Amino acid sequence: MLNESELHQLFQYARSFCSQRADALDLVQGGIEVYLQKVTANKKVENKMAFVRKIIRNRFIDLYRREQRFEHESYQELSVYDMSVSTLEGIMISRSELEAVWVQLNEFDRDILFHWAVLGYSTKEIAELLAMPLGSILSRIHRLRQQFASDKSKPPVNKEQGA
Amino acid sequence: MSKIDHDTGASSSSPECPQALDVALREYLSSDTLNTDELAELMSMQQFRLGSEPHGDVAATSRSFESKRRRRWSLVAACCFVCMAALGSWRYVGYGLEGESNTVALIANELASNHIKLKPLDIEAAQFSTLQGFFTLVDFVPRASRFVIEQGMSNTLLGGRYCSIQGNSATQLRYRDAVGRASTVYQAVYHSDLYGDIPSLDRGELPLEVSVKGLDLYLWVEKGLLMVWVRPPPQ
Repeated sequence: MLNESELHQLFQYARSFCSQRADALDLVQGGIEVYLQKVTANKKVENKMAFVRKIIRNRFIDLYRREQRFEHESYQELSVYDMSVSTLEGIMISRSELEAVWVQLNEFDRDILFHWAVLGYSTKEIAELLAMPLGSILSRIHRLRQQFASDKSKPPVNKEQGA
Repeated sequence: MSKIDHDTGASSSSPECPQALDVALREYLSSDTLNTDELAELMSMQQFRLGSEPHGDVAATSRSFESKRRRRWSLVAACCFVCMAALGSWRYVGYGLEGESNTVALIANELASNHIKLKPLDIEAAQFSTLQGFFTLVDFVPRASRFVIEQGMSNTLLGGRYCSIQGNSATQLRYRDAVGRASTVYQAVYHSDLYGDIPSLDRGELPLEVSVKGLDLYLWVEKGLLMVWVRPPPQ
């Protein structure tokens, strides 16, 4: 069973995808239901939080991509990468600047930032957890750094993402 | 771009003191939490699902489901029907649900909640064929159920939207009855291992009828699809 602290964190994760509270709550509830089905069926779940996050992510992609509220963003992978997360760790930012940038980020980028900042995973671990190529993660991190450097001083844009 | 005094870390354009990005993200993201009701709902859902006694301000539905489940285990299906009818919560039409009550309860609660929220339609359509042409991203073709047709002759089709049932892709079809009230019909590919043993119209069985959150729900399988009809009780 998930405790209150874990439920809060799952909600915060779902909120990184959904601008609407109700949608985030739906994702969390759906994820927990699938997890509980496993538990009651006596099926082992190695890492319950990672499992539920995966369900939340997949449900978001399934539901909102189909509703065309999720914009697929193409990007070019770099040929040379800084192979560490220090490209993000060196950034200093205020709360208001962060809010201004956060609303402009897409769900994939928010997902990466959540895993890095809140869950404390390395770039390699993030790539494994999100089932994305390491190069894709590094490319996104590189672009995020550029975005933080250039956008954090701009006024917030009321952009509805997700649902 | 705001200038940051690297000696003090203070921003010249913002009264807030800049922090390391990961620290700022943690503080920002952790400030958004579940409220008391939302937290209680999730805790109660888990407790009910895992068979614990619900506590706190739990919806009457969970208590009703838990007590009905215990009674059903000790009675023959016909006797269960009499008890459930007397209690006014569960009604069985000659069908037993040994071992599947939790799944049915989860489905019923989920879809009753969806019905109450009535999120915007993805497509507005009065013709069923239009909906069938729209729902291309699910791995089934929605069907006009003969049970819905027979029972809801005065219902008008309004449209549909994508949704899910217990995490699996589904469609919601929305109708309006003669007095303007909405009813919703959910369809998904039926898997007995996911949804339990649900009555099949194709075998001549009658839908399972339950009441959740003040709504009447009918669950059945038809042409390989799980179908759930949610509507307000008759006036």
